[in-house]
Amino acid sequence: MSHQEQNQVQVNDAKLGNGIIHRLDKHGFEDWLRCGLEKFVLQGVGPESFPGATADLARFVYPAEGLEATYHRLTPEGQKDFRLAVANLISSWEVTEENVVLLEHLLHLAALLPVKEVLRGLPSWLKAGHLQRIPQAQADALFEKVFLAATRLAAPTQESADSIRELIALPQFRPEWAGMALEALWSCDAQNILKHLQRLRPYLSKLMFNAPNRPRIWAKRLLDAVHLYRIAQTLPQLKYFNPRSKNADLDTWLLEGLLGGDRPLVQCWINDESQLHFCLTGQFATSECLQIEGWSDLYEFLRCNNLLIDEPLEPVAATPDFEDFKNKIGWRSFCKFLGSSEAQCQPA
Amino acid sequence: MNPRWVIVLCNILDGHDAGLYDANFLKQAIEWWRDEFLWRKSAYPTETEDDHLAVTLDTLLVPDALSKFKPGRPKPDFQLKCRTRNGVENYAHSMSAESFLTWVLHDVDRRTLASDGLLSLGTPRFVDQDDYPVVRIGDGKNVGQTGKVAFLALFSAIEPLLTASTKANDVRDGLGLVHWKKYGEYVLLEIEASDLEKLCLGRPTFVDAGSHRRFKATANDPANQVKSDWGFTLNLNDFTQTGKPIDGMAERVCEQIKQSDVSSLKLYPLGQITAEDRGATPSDDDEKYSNCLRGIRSVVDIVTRIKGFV
Repeated sequence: MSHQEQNQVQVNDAKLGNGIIHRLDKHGFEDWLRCGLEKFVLQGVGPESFPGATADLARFVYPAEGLEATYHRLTPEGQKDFRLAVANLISSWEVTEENVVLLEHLLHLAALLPVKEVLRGLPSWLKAGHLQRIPQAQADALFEKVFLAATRLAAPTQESADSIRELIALPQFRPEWAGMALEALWSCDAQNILKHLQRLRPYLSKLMFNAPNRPRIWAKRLLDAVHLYRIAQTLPQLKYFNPRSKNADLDTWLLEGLLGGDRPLVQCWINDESQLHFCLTGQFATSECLQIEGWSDLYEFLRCNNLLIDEPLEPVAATPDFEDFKNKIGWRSFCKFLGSSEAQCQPA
Repeated sequence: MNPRWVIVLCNILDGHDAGLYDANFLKQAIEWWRDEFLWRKSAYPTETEDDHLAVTLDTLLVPDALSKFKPGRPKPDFQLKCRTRNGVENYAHSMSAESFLTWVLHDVDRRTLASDGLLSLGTPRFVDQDDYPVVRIGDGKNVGQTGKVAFLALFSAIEPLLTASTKANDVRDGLGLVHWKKYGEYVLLEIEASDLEKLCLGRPTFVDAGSHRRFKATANDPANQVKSDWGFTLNLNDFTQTGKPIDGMAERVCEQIKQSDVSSLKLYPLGQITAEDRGATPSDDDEKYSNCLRGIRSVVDIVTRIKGFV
């Protein structure tokens, strides 16, 4: 550093004073982070790029790890401002070939802390087409980091669902991410699981193609994300056959994953009244009963693929108590979900 | 004196007395550290002295770091002073799960892990299962920071810990990783010894360790002291329980591991740290550890000896 540069550093830092990180607000942290990353990552300046956090930056391998250590030294209010600064930076970042790496470091930081506030501005940022302004290789790499950050931060909120939907709509989205995307959408927006499945159908088909272990893996994760009754209600509306095209994208993987194998996750049988019953294996007392018209495709698929059992492997302990069932699942929501009145939803 | 610097000075002297380096090396290293510290104090007056000491110590091993500090004067090579031969047993390197996922893991392998349901939403990021995936370092990516060293342990020493649900805590304690905080998620990478044949390995010195607060230059167990090719970590759990610097695991340092060095790694998710932070209570804080390392030596004795080298 020349004498002139050295003097300028002293003048700039003198304004900040000792203990600078404890005097920064949200806007201060935005400037501090942006300038710090530019100096540290692009100019190779070193730990002094972040006044007040030099020791943290010198100790760790990646800047986000050092900044994480700095974050933990802040007061709760300071931490909140820090997170908002990270979120604001990400949601307002104008991506260029030169600065995309800085955004990647910010996304790493957001995933580490974590900064759930990022999800608020992420859908708009994704819609603005930033990934289209950089070369494809950089866009692909950036997409994956955004996707991983978004799924890391995923919460059952509208913003989370919106972020994942925007990511799916981008040309960089790949079948490899479809399982995580579906799981995230089902977790965030369980009312629309069919719509999410339909949106991801072509990617899920490719994901499951020639990968015999994957249907069960993903069926299990989806069962953890959403109650079985929602999945059961959706099954008749899925695609099992397409007489016009052998290569059509189908949803058969989901049934194979749920019901297939020596130890299926879910068991399905037909009772004397031609009702389809589903239950988590070993939990017969809480079986879900499907009494919906138009499930002939579903029945046909189950029958042709030997996915139905003749009778439960264990005796049913007692007829499921309908009152218990109502109370457990939220009766009014259930009726609303079926689009029926409460009287219409009562068992025969 | 701040106990964290007493820890460093004790390790400097203990390393010398154990023959890891001679007086000339010690003199060069301390003088460089001192001169750069003074320069930084003048150049960046708003940072604290402790921060300047930490930064200059942590960058001491980086070749040509801050060439602006002494323009025209080449920096001595302080890194990996105590060279060792490579062994035949596989090594283990631990790091942040999120950092591994973002900056080290090969793109194709990342997508494969995602496809196979081995990356989860939220935390822990990596799904733990019995079948540990084999992965690669990404194109142009590395394990360890440019210019610095990567710490390695023997995989065989860590392997018995990997079946426990508390493995993140246990590995933290065994490797003396006092900077691993509660809720942090980590992974372990198994590296074949043959992959590191062409790299420089060494027994860690105070330079390689930098400002690491629980570094231990020498082993305490006589059975370990004879293993001169290896340093030994401090077992954090034993230290908290007993107040004694009981040896953890054998460790080495290695120059940065590049993608071209390693054909593949086996990935062991450790999960999250669930136990309380180490080094944060009177029974295991910096003061306690510095007193433990100091032994019967007074701080004055230690400083006087250090000054004698410079």
